[in-house]
Amino acid sequence: MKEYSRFIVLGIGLLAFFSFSLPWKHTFSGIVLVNGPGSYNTLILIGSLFILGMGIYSLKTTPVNPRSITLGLLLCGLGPLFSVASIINLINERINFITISFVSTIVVIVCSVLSLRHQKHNEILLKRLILACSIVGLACFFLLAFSRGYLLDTEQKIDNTRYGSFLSAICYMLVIIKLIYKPENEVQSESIVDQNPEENEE
Amino acid sequence: MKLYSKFITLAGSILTIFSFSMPWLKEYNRNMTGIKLTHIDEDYSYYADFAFILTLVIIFISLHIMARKKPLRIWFKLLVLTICLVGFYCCLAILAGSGMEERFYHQLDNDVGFGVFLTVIGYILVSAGVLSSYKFEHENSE
Repeated sequence: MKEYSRFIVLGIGLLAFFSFSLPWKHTFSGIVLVNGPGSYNTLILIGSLFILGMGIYSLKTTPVNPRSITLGLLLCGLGPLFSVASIINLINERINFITISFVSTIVVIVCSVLSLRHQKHNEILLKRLILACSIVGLACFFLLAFSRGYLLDTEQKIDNTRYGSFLSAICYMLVIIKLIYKPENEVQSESIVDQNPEENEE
Repeated sequence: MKLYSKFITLAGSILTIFSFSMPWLKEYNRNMTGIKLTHIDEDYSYYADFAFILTLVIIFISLHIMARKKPLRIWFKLLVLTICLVGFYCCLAILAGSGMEERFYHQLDNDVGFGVFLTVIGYILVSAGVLSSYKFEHENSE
């Protein structure tokens, strides 16, 4: 990523974060819905999936080392255990998709701040994480927009998705476009590098 | 350290202090700004007190960064990042623990104002300004 494009992703992430202070559904702002029913179990589910991801990452990337293998296997065991426990808890409550959207926004911001450090070996991983979180956030918006009376009681089924959620969805779309789209100059320079790797090395 | 990263740090710190004049909480039809929240005694107002003190520290640090011509030392960057992380935690504690569940169960008019969000954005900008200076200092040292 170029220098200023990192700041573009960070700026869009901050705008998505700010959209949680705006109305999302009915009279509720985004942050009220984030703290709504089912938020704790959803957070536990996200945490357990994070532990599982850390375990897989440590098993894949670290060299053969008994400690790292033990740690990776431990995390790979604990992750599914906690996620099954939280899913059992979520049978009684509903899963809170807006909490997932909020966490994915935080992850996008943290990853874009970390990508400012210019460490090339982490860049691809951070880019993939930002892309995955943006897609998850966008999916949460669609679930919110197309589910009738979500998070509200049966007496309050007023299905009006408001501008805060639309702003966050636009931000996620912009992040996805920014990460997927490559300008023609960049594509050409990459193809030249692929064709003449020896010349470029010299 | 490039000039724009200095300005990002300064802009973030100014945004953070300015956001204390914005609405932070709305409870029982009372709008409370950040400064007002630091004056009252409630559970989450201690977080606001702490965030305000950290903001003042960040203002002085950003002024020091603006005046400094040499590259920042690593312990200084870690100090700024730690302050930003603690401030971020305080704001998240207010966002998560300010009686939002009561809104659902008792149909109250409680809400969080956009001031807290601006404070968090300010902390993130300060840490981004400090982190974006890494490469240029590395190049200069080589």
